[in-house]
Amino acid sequence: MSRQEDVVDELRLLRERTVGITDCLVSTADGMLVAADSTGIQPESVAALGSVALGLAKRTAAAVGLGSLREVVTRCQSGYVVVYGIGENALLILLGDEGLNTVSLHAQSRQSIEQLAKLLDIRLA
Amino acid sequence: MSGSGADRDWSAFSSTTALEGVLRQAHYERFTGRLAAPGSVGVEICLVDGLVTAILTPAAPGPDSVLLRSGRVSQVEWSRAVDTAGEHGRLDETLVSRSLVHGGELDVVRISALFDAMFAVCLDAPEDWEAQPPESGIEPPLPLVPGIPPALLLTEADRRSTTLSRRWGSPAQLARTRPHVTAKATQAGTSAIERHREILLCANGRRTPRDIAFVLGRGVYAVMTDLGRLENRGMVQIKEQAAPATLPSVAPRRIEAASQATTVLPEHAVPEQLPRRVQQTAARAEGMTPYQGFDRTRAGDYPPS
Repeated sequence: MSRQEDVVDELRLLRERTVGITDCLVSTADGMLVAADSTGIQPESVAALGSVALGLAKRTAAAVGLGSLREVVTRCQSGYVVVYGIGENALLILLGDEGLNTVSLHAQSRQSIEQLAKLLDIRLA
Repeated sequence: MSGSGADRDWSAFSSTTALEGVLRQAHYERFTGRLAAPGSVGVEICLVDGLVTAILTPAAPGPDSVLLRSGRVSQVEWSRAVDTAGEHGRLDETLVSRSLVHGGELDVVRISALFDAMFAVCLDAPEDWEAQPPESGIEPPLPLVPGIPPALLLTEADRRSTTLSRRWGSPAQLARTRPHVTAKATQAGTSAIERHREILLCANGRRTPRDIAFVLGRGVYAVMTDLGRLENRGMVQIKEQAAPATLPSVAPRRIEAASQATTVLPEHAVPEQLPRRVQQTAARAEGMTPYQGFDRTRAGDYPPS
């Protein structure tokens, strides 16, 4: 199995073990899509937008002095978009429906972020 | 002890669970507050005077999701109603006063959502429950007042579980499956009612019955029984499997359900060589607003004259 397939497999596992997640993407920090387990969306566009959202949130967090950024949660009428950094060079974007529990999501995502970092040779701080 | 439903026959249940025990006690004590399952993902049962008024669970769509996802109330109208009602106002009264939904219809949606949520919670009921004050946690958007006796909800959950077990095997197992449409659904001459067609569009091997219920704004039990019927007709496969055979990898451009269900869903039929339009059609089927920019660009309106 190639490394990219491993990444897709990890995204699929995250989606299947977390109630409410509908799509998962990994992109580079500058918004280039690496891998996606998704349907019904334009993954390249979402990857680029996720990168911008994370960048803006990091700048905002630095400007207000509330500590380092943990994740970006965008709450919509019928669901969520959650963006996590995977170290400094990549990010994990999750889409979920309104049943997604964002509190328990973070524990599930942490496990996947560590696994994805290993697969992508990224060192986590 | 008094109150409606207080003399219900609790011995009617076929199984004794921690949830049944804690609800029985809450009902007898006319408990007002929340029963939360700390070890689970956000399951909370709200009670007033021992009657269940709302169930917050990720396992089943609430009445708000049903109204919005089904398109019964538009998102713009909903947002306006929420703003009008305010933080502690009565959203149900606002929805009715603005004629967005009839009072009786709203009650039907709330009651059916409650029964469905209890059924979904019982499929994988947590063992540990703790009582919390009513003001803790998220306020349920559309509580049913007065509520429903918990015994009634449990009896119905038990009946639904038994019905599914008798026809299609373990409901808990069925809830974990990710059904996908079969080749038969795409054969010419195959027909399905609109309700089933919408489920076929969603059955792409990625979604559980719970996921489909959220997409369509329907009850989980209703979706499960429809999936069972569709399996009996050979139009979906709901056997549990490790992973879909056609796992999308990087930048997937195909929508399996939309392309496979073209015979059953002629109005959604789209040629394979128009991948972006396939995606937009599937987006419409899932209740999303497709991105309009590409169409405008292709139509030659850009740059604007």
